[in-house]
Amino acid sequence: MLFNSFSYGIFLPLVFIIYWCLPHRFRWVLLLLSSYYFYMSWNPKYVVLILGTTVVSYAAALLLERASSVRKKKWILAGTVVICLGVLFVFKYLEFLLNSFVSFANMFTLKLHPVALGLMLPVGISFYTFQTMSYVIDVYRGNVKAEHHFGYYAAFVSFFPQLVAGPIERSSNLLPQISSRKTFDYEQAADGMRLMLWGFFKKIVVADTLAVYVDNVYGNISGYSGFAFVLATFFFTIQIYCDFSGYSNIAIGSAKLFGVNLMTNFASPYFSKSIKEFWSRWHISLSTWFKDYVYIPLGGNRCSKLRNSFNLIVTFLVSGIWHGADWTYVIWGGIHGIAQVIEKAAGRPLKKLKSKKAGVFISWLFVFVFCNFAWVFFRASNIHDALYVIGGMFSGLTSPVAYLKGGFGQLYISLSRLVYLAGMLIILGIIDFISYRTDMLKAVRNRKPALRWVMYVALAVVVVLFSSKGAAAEFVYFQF
Amino acid sequence: MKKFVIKFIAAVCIVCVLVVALNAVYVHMDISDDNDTDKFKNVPDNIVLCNLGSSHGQYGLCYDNYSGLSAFNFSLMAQSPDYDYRILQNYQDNISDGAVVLMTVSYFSFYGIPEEQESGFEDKNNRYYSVLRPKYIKDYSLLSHISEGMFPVLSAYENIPKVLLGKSVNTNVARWNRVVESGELEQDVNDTYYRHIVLYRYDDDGNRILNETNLDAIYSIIELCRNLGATPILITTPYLKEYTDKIKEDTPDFYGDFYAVMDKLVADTGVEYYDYAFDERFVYDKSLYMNCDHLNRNGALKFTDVIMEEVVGDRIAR
Repeated sequence: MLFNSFSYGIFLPLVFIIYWCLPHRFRWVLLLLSSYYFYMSWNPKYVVLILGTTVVSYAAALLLERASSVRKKKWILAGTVVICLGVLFVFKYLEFLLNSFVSFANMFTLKLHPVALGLMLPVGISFYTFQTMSYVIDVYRGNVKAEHHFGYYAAFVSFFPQLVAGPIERSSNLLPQISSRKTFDYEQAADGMRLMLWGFFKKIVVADTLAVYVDNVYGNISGYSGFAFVLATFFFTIQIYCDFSGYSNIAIGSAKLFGVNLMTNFASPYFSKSIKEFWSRWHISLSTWFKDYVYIPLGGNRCSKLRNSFNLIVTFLVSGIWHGADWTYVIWGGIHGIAQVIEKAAGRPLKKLKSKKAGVFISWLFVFVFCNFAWVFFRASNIHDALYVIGGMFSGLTSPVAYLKGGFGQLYISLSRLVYLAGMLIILGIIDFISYRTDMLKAVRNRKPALRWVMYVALAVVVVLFSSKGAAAEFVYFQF
Repeated sequence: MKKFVIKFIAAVCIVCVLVVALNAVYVHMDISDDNDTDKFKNVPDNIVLCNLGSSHGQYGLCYDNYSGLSAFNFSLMAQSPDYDYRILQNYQDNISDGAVVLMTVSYFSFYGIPEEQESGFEDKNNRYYSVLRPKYIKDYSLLSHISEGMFPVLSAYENIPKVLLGKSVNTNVARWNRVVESGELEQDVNDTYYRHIVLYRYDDDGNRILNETNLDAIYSIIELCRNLGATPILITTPYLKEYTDKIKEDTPDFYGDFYAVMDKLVADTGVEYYDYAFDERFVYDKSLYMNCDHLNRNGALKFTDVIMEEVVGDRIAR
């Protein structure tokens, strides 16, 4: 069941009304049942996996609490990580690993055939696996207490607004909100609706419109050249942001309807002026997960510069492979890791540069262009395609007018369509810039009611007008 | 919570009213009719002459010179015989006893993969939501019905500003009125040959594909016409000589295959078949064509006169 589907439009209000009509002691039951129904609407078979992961992590936390020795705790933690990651590994990485081995072996004149296990990646597995792992690790570290109520815990793991693509919640934030007694908060629910509306605009109006151009170019790269690659890559940069942050807005907004505050997942990342800042604003729940459970355990920055660089690169390589079982994701992660190492090394000159207005602009531009470049590896089907796209971007540059015209022509972007696309991106840019500088929800709340309503209705009408276009379009991050 | 629910319902109602109003304005101002489906808003009762088929029938027949006659052109671009049959079923009550139903048969009519497997099928299929009742629409979905049939503004996207600014143009009529230029003919012949012969005839392994669904649909059309008391007649519209020559040269066995199927069809059903593909009154005169295989409006008027004279004759009262 997609957020941008008719079914969700029925499902959410129904669960919302029942939830607030029920006495507190039954609410977790409703959340759990509706979350499992939501998950099973994709593929009922895979409910076994999420249930298994839930049971294992729940039991592990209880055992950790009762374990008397550190050694015993370590064994329990290791066992849980092996089981949780093992499931993820089998479904997501095993085929990739086997085929990488086949490719490697074939380089040495062995003639092995590619492996096709035919396993479908269960939706949301990377997200809920990381959520349960963080819970067990936190219990192991003594940061949180083990949850004794299995129902609360199962609802925490499967909470439908964030089940399939995050935000990856920490138990310290979400678990108490599921078990606590709540009364309906009008402002919180209204904020939820505002966030959802903005999320739908980003997903349905912006992301799905740009996806058509991106898919055409990246799906048939030999049919395009020059500026068409630049445009398609720029469009993908915006598409993936609007797709994923739009999803996050809808998820956070949906949760607010149930009195639950999920963590912020995006904070205007494309206005960042350094790669480090970008990662503090992009997919925040995952970035902080890697920081807390990979980067810091590796030694973080409390070590030598060389070791710190190693820690950074390893963290980003792992982040890359988390996104998908392909070398393109590893390279994407690696590029970001190396960029951060370089950025750190150039700390002082960069600080000096940013002290001037022009310097701030140059920093922003550099980060934005860098992100575009890195996204090529993320979007391309393989490394060869990515390199082809990057090389192709420069072809025809000697005749700039023909270069630009050719790009728009290849993508069939007429002047009127360009105006339409630019209008869409300007609205997005303005709202994001305001969000970068201030609390957008607060800013909206402080407007006069009439103006607010005009904005809501206008935005909602635009979303409805585009709704049948995006009805079938999946969210990009569902594949991870 | 009550306040929240009331406000939410109010917002939904306001948005719905605005969308409905916008849709009414859009429908009123949109004259583009790219799919040529507006004509279905005025399907006459007691039809005595009509035609089914793809764009060859759509552009090849024009009853404007027979205004006293209750005639209708049901053909649409790339329409499969399967959909011809569905259209005939949907509008069977509009067909008079004793009517003549012309079914244009194109070279791709019974070759190729099922249309549901073709790329772009969904877009093509969506046009029928404003033409047919739900039970005759393939892969029917209520949401598509709402967005395509009832509220076209929901599927107009970036066309909305163009239409509301009064810049909508009827591309269909413009296309039909043009005359093919000699300079473009060679490329057009190659493209059409590829689309209609190469693409439709072979699968990935190079095997010929006979589309049984479409072939069965032609049999069903003939049977339904007879049940309605109408006379079904199959016709193939004229093509420019350059096009048929290209087929003969590059796929010599095509016509043998095609006419074998037609012969069997005629033998099985006893239906009449008139082939104008090589008619010398049409095949050389480029001024009658909008491209190598489609008559333009002038060509359609002339061809319809020929059909009325040689095929329809006095089967219907004029």
